[in-house]
Parts: sequence; C-alpha cells; structure tokens
Amino acid sequence: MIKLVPHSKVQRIEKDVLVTPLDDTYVMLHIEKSKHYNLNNVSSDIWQQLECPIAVSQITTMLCEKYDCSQEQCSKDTLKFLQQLYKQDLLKIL
Amino acid sequence: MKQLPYKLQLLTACMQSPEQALAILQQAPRRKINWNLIHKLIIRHRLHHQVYKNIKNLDLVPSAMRNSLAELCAQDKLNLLSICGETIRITRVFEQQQIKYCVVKGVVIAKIAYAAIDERSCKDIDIWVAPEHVLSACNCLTSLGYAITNPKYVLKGRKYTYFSKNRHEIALYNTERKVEVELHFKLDYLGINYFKFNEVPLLLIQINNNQINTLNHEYHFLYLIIHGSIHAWVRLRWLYDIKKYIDTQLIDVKQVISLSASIKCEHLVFQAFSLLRQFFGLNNQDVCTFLEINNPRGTDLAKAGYQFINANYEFNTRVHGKMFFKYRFYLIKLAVKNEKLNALLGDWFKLDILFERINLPDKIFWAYYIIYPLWIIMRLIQQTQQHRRQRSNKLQFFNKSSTNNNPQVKKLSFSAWLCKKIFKHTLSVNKQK
Repeated sequence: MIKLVPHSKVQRIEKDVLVTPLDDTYVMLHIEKSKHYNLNNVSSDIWQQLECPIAVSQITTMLCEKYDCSQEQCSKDTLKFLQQLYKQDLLKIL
Repeated sequence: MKQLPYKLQLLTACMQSPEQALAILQQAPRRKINWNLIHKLIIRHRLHHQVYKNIKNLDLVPSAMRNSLAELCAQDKLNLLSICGETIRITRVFEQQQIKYCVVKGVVIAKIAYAAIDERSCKDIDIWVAPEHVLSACNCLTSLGYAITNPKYVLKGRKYTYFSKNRHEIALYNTERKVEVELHFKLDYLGINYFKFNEVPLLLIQINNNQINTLNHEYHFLYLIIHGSIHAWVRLRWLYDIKKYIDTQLIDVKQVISLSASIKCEHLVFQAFSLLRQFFGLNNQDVCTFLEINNPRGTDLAKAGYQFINANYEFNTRVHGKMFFKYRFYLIKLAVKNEKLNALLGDWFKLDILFERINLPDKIFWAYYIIYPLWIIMRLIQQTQQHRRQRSNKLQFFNKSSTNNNPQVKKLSFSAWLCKKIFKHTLSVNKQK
C-alpha cells in the first residue's frame, strides 16, 4: 500500500460516492460497494477539504486551528483517516 | 374556484417557504390546528422533506411534530442515497451494454426541479427502455442482483401478448440493496398514446459527474402531468413537482401544450394547470393564457382531482374504499374519446391476476374470461366479509355484543365457501388436464 506522508497531495474520488448531510454530519454511500459511511464533525470537515487537490499538512493545519489540538496528534489521526479512505477507494493520491 | 380548506392552505404554505408557513400559522389560534391530521396529510402526500425544511425552526409548530418529521426525513435520506446510487450503477451498465434507456420521475425530478437528490422522497427507480431492449435490460438488472417481482408468471405465448398489450412495466427488486426498479416498456395509459421511445428527444443530466439519460424537459413534464392525472393527483407532491419544474424556467409551456395536443391530452394539461393555480396560485403568463380558453373537460377533471387531493384518508381503490367508484368514473372521464370502452375493459378485466394462480394452455386462453368474473365475485365476498369483520371488531371495541351470530355474515360466509368450491374445482380440473 502507498504510504501517506504529510506532504502527500490527495483528493477525494467523487464519481463512486454520494454524500448527504444528516444533522451536522454527513452520510456517504459507495455506489459500487453499496456501503454506507457515517462521517463525524471532524471527518466531515476533512471530506469537504478534499474536494480539490490538497496536501495532508494543509488539512492538519486547518483542523488544528479549528479544534485546538496538538499538531502531532492531529497529523497522526488525519493520516490514519486518509489511509482508511484510500483503502476504501474513496481517495486518490496525486 | 373553491377556496382551499385551512388544512390544505396550511400544508401548501408549509411546503413553499418558512415565511408563508409562519404567516398562516399566525393567522389561526394554535389550539384550532389539528396537528394530528396535518401530520397524516404530510405522510399521505409524501411531503415530509418539503414541509420539514420550512417548519424546523418554527416554534409555533409542536416539537413532537417537528421531531417526527426530522426522523422521517433522516431515514428517507439514507433510502434516497441508495436509490440514487443504484440509478447510477444501473445506468453505467446500460451504457456499457448500449441499451437505449431514460430515467424518469424520482431522482431526475429531484435533481432538476429541487436541485438536490435528497430533498424529494421516492420509492423506486423508473426506467423507460426501448421496446427492443427490454430483454437485455432485464438481463443486465439480473446480473446486478435484481429479481423480477412482477409479473410473477412466465411470459410466453398468449400471456406474453396480453402482458405487452395491457401492462406498462416489469418490476424488479434487489433484496441486498433493498431497491426496486420499474422497467417501463411504454408510457401509454387509457388511450393516451405517449410518444414512442425513438420519437422522444433525450437529455443528459449529471449526478456526481455521472451522466444519466432522461427525457427532454417538455416531454418529461408532459409525462409527469399524464402520470399525476391517471393517479388522480392523489399525492399533492406530484402537483408540487410540476410547480417546481415550472419555477426552474426550463419548461416551454407553449411547447408542452402543443405536444399534449398531438397526443390528445390537452384536457389533462388543463386539469394540472387549473389545480396548480388553485393550490399554489401559479401565475405564469403562458399557463394563465391557456387557462383562459374554455375547456369543459379539463375543468370537470380539475374539480374531480380536487376531491381526491382533499380527501383526508389514504387513497383506496378497493371496492370498500370511499373513492372506488368515484375513481372509476374519473378514469372514464379521463380516457381519450373513442377509447373509453377499451379503457374501462382494461381497468375491469385484469386477467393477469389469474395467470399466476392458474396456468391454462394457450388453446383455452378464453377460459380466463369466464373464470375472471367468478374470481372477482369471490374476492368481493371475501372483501365484504373482511370489511364486516373489521367493522364488527370496531363495534365490539365499544359494545361487547358479538356480531358472530349475525345471520347476514353467515349468509356471506356460505356464498364465499360456494365460490371457493367452484374455483377450486376449476383448478383441480385444470391440474388433471
């Protein structure tokens, strides 16, 4: 598997995914796999950031500003989440 | 033109904007509003998304009502996501297999008229396919995990001829994804011969960068009018779809009128526009000009349509439903002149109900016409009994006296038994053959 690093540029794969807002969060459906994913507030924010090509570090900075957390922990968690998206064919690494 | 009763005024205002909803709520004292009835009407007319969006922040609406609608909308959104996802998945395969198709109603209306796939509820996917591609479309859907649910009998010989002449669609269901698809092979109803697949201009719409074929706006708009009219506009949401479509300004109303004239259904367009003006105060210039022309048939149909929308109860076309006979008369009024008898026969003689129960060889296909009235009599008796039982249960709830000793019920039970015997005998004779 390709390893994601903070300077990797990533973008979401939209063609196979449908997203709908539900209360303050999002629900996502993978069309081919017919799998639903619930996104919490933080992952919804990340998903929105992934609309255009973006570096992982930029996402981390944005999250740190918004949620008041340590850069190191935030970077670690973001990379873990992005790896999961990649594994589910929801993310491409540019 | 009749003024709408308060319940419908409230409903239509709540559908349109928070401001209109607030204005009408402030007019009436809170205690006078029967929220239970309004809730039932919202469900009956499938308007939960449209209403909830506008009342979610209004304190004048009871919180129980808002919570109930919020829950309903959340559940429905997941369902809509699945339906939309399946629409994309199916159309991708149809494109690969070069099947001529177009998606109608449902997701397409949501995308075009509401600009959001999750703001208009729908229960299934409607796809119109070119008649020569029905079989391959069915095969594609089967390969995607769908199974045919209607017709429940094997389509061959006279049964196939009957089905293709009298029915419009094949229904398929995917148990894993819980999505239903209706594969339409024609869009003709009651002598109104909608255009042939190859005659209609198609349009491409985009959902999440996926291209989907649908009907050109005017043709789709006209189809929605025909569909709503055939079902007596029993869901106010269908009428609201038409309004939203007009609001997009994508529709050339004059072209719709001219198309309707070419397939002899101007009276349906008149009915729809007339109801639109009555319910939503539509003042589109072309619509108003069209409504100025005297159209007694259309006016008559609009009056009839109003009754069906106004009904509090769920539309029930069974013989004991209040609207059963009214709906039959309505269909006669609606049918194209010279086709009324055929339309009536088609509505009353639904022979294919028998096909899945009795399998007669093609040589004695005519026997279905003899068995059918017997079957109907049996069904009527059963329904009458059921209806009486339900009524007597209701009575028992208030009054403990039992109706089991009622001689009329006993008499009916005997008739039902007799009909059953005749029917079973026919079945066993057929099996022996």
